[in-house]
Amino acid sequence: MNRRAAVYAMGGGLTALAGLLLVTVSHAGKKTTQAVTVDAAQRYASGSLASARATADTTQYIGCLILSSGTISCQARNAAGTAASCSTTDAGFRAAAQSINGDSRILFNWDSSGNCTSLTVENYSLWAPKVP
Amino acid sequence: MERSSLIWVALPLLAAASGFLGGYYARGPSTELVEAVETQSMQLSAFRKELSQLQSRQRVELAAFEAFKQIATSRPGPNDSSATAPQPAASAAAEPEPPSPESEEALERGRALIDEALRTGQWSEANVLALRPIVQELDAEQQHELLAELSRHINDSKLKLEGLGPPF
Repeated sequence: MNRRAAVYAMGGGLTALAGLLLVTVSHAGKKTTQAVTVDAAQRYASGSLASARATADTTQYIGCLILSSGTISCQARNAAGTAASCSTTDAGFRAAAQSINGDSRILFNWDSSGNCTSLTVENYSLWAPKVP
Repeated sequence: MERSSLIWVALPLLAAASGFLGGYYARGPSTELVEAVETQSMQLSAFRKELSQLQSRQRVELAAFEAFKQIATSRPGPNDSSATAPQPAASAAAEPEPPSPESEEALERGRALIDEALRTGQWSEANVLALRPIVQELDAEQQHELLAELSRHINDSKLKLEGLGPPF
């Protein structure tokens, strides 16, 4: 290899390295995923909507529905097929359920009668965005 | 002027000044002041009497208003046969309307659907599709009752979800 070819090779390598660094920097920031968790004993379910959708299985889902009457129901199913469900008409739950979006992580609890006892909606940047 | 001469001039002046001041303080309050105080005292008494009359009149009017309000709130409507029973207006407005016979019938269909699924232990996609129109016929409390019942069986693993999506 002559000197000119060596210079070109070195320049190309540096450009590639700079591009790699640029890509790394542009994707910085805390990122995580959370698959659907259902704890029947603790009556607790959680998961990120986007993570559940992105899983390879066809089992997991998590979310809440709001009926026009004001009834709210939250549902989840983990990878093992264990499902959780609860219902409420509480206005506080309605406001929380309305704040859920495709990038949210939600957590809910229920009692022995199937009533929702809590609903937490997390809209943090670290949860992966939902993709098709 | 000599110092002794000055003393003889100052002494009479001091005596005159002390005499004037002693007379001023010894004569007591003037008659005008006494009359003004007496007048104000009489006015104050008159004000007190007037205030007392106003307060007693206010109490009478307040009692009359309370009596009128009680009559107005307990007055029966033109078609009300229970004329003697007082109607608590606020609680009547807060009570939800009773469910219609149609929604009661839909609730029974929903319960029957769940009971039927419990026999097999499966909550199928067909059950999901069957439940949805039933839920639409229910009022909010009935919806919650039915969905909570279904949730209870799912959470207790008495019903296994066969479909890919949520149970309703």
